[in-house]
Amino acid sequence: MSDKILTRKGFVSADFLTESYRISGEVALKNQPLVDMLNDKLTGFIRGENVYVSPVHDPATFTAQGGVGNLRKDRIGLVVLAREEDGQSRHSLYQTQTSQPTTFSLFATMPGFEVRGALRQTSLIDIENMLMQSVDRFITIFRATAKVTSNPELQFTGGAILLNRELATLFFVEKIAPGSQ
Amino acid sequence: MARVLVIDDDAGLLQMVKLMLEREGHTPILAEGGVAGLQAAQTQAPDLAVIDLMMPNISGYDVTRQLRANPLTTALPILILTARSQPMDKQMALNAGANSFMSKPVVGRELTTRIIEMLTGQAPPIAMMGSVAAAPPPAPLPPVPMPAMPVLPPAPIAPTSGIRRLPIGADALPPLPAIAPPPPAPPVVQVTAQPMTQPISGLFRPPDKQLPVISVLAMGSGVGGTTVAINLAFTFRRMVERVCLIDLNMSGGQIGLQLQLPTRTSWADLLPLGEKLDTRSVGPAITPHRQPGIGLIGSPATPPPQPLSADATVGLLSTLALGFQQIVVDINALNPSTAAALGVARAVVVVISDDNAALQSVGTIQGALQMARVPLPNVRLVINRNRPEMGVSTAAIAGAFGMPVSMELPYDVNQLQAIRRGIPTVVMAPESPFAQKMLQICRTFVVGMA
Repeated sequence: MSDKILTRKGFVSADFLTESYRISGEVALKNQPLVDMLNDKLTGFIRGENVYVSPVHDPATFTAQGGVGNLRKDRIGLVVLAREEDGQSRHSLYQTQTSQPTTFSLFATMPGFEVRGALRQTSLIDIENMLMQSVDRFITIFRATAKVTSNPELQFTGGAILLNRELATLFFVEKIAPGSQ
Repeated sequence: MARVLVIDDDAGLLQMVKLMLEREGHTPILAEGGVAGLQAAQTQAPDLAVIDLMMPNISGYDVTRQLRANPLTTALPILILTARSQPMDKQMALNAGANSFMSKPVVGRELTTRIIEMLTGQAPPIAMMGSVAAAPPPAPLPPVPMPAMPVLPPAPIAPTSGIRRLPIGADALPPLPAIAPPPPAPPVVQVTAQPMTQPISGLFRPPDKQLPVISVLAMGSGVGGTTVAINLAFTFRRMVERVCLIDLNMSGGQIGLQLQLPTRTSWADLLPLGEKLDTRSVGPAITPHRQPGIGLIGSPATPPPQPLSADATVGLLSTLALGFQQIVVDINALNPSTAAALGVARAVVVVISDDNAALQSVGTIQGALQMARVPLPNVRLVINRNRPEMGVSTAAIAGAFGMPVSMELPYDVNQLQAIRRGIPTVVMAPESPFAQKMLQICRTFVVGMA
């Protein structure tokens, strides 16, 4: 038996959601987590490989595909990732080694989506300030669900969803008591 | 051990799976891409196929559909292994004909375990509904897209010839996949229908939205109502992804008989549930047909004490509408359940034969339509000329009903053979005049009313 994970080494698969499209593809990580690549302000685009496009209202049907596609970071609303660890930033990896994170439940509205999930931060941080004043464009919501506003039956779920804070219109945040998750 | 065909466009992943399968004693057959995979499936006689969904030129969905359509590979167990892991992806894969679904990244041990389960028949069966996603809440299918796929710019995007949509209303419909010969059907108890003693009670609760239901009403035996219902369902399957065919009659299992499909479950299984029907409770009552995308709910072999209530029937149809784009109901008698199915139907196809006995049923049919409160514009009269010799004239039938005849189904020699083989005429002889008329029914007065 093999416990090896069958995946393309050094790549992460992701669903990039905009108001109109679901774009699936693989991103080469280049020794940094995807969320950090998206928050890198020096580049405006992120390169995806084996890119497949579907309309959000018909998200299982492929309408186009390409070997390589460049996605404009500031227009990506959400990035759905299968595993929680795929959504962690390098910064958060350090945090979890030094202090116990506090978990908040989060509800956010985005163009075309309602997002629910858990936000994890160290207890030293004022969560509302972080949401409103952080310099990072994307924040990680764990165990998250993004519901298509116009068709709530369509839901995207992931171990982590990266949310473009600049496109969000509303946040509700509530602290979750330890042990309740 | 088994010969496992692995179809993926990622050469690196193919090698990883190859090593893993060899370690388990299996013989891997590797195919880089869908076209190579289809060829290998025909020439290498694999025991199971593992297929990626996202592949250029021809997607995993299309590979699966083509394998199912080919008599050589129609029964091949198919495991979809994909990075697309959302419930709608699973649903689409299962609609295409896959037996099982796994999301990447996957641990090698899980994949080999699943393969062994599938080969030994221990993998959990995939139902048409309910256990499909096994995850709450079950997501209904998105509406089938109407517009044609936009033309892509030539560069830098590769051609997507294998990626297509179902062209509803287009002139050229995709051919139905071939169906494997059915297994021998167990004997089905034939029971004479009991006379209706229960009055049609009260009003049923109308659904909040219009349901995609076509009810086929035929009074009396030998009229061909069940044949029309079956062929309508299989014709609709050429237009939409998922079709449900329900035999709401009290007993007899005619649909199961004609399709030579042992329907061990029936609508009667839902009686103990009353009106509390949802996808989880309805799912087990559905028998999947060999052709992917068609689900059947049969009638019981022996008549139960009572039919479903009107509200339960509406609840059943509403629940089915969450997972099926078209529902066809076969009705040959009036009771609260069939009255409800007639009342909520988008169209009622009244089938009559062209003999004198059929003319005598005019009053019964008109009474049934009136009691079920079916609006007359929703009713379509269809003459089924099921004998080689010409019977009663169209004008006489139209005169007796006081309404125009919408369609005449010609006598078709293929029908007898189709029933004998358990394959609908529209599948066995898609170019036959009968099949063309069925297509016309779906396209004109049924689809047109939607």
